[in-house]
Amino acid sequence: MPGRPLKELMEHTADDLPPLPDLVPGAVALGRRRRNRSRALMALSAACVAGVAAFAVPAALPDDNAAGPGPASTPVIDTPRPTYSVVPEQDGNKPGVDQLPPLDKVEVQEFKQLAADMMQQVLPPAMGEIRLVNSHAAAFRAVSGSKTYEITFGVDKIPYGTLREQVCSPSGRIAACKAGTLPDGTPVAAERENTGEGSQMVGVGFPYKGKWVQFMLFPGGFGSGPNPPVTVEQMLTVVQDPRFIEFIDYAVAHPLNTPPPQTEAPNPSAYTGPPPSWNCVPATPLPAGQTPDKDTPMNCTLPTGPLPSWLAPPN
Amino acid sequence: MPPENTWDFESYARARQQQLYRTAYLLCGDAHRAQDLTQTTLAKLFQHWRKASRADNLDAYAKTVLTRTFISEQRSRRRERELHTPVAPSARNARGGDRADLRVTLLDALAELNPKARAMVVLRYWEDHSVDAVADQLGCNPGTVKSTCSRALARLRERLGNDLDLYATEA
Repeated sequence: MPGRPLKELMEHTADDLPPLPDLVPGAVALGRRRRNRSRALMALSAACVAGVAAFAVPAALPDDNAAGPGPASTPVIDTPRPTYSVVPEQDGNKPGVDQLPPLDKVEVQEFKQLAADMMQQVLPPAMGEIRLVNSHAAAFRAVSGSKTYEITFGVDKIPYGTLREQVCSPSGRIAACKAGTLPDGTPVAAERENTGEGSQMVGVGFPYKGKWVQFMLFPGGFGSGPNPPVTVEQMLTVVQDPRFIEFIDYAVAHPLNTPPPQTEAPNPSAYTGPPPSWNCVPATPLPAGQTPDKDTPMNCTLPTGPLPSWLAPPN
Repeated sequence: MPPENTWDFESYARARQQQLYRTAYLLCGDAHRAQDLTQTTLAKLFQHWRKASRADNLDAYAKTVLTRTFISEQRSRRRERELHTPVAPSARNARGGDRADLRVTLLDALAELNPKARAMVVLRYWEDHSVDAVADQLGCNPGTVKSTCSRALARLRERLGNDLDLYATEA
């Protein structure tokens, strides 16, 4: 009868454990967040179902370079959510989500599961299955057969110096562009951009309710894989999809307490230069050949929306 | 001690966290992960406290949450390992006679079981749950629990050998 000695051995093995700190305060905080997220998800699902039923998203989309079909028109939100698998970063060297403190780790993984589920529903099926990349909170991957695509999706602080006007302007880098608006009038421009040696990324990056939304699709294999099979028209339709809008509203309301993947916005109190803007021009014409520098007086305008508080000009 | 249906969450969690932690350690074999598992379990209990606090056996309910959380996490961790890194054989080898080594060997031997089998062994032989209770907790039939436990014990005997009996007489 092995039960008794085995139990004794197990007991003595557990005796080796280091002392346990009080986990209750952390568990209460985590449980409260889980409960809030769960309720928000239920509200989100209900709103999505209602929204899709009302608007019946069209399946067929225009095509600018013979890419895959448009987003699926039949959502499966009211069925249990699938679990999306977690894969490591390609180079394997970046710190993983596993290294975050326990509370943040659970929160990030839950957020990423929700985000992956949303992406799986709104992206064209040609992108394949969505995976969670175990590096930063914004890293995802899509796998379709032998093809992989890297995805960056995040709703973070507005980064310094990257704001631009959400319009299409001709450029050597921009292979295709489609501008439009979200239902609330927020302008957004989807671009297909050359990133070197034939590889292209497709994506959007736009300010939304005081946050910066970025959703970018890259070739996998450090840029050596095939270009993402999504047209700029499809990308624009994806971000106009009620499910995408509902999710970024949710992300704005439930910000993650983790560093964004790209440059942090500066400390507003340390900022003393002119306010960055979508559209800045020198206040007085500059001599031919001279470019503005940080001391050049600029007139800046924003196309829509209030100036984010931290960007307000110093008094 | 208040009857189970009158526990408030914090009192219950404080009274039971140490026991959950020990069970979590036997399930996963790592103190830090055991702490994470315990906290996640408590958070899930808090999330569903209204339902949990009405359970016939709150401790069994908590252990079920812990075990299922472990199995779920273990699956994704294993999938990740299988996809991307070779599983290195354990560097820890059994050396008979020494109690500390025997404990290490036990953890190594448990680690060789699949997550569900490991959970069955821990629930059955550490928690003293009946075959039916384990089957209920893990959502399988009692026959599966019996056969899996039997195979798992055979493997443990293989790894621990006579050490298990030796330890029992020493203890």
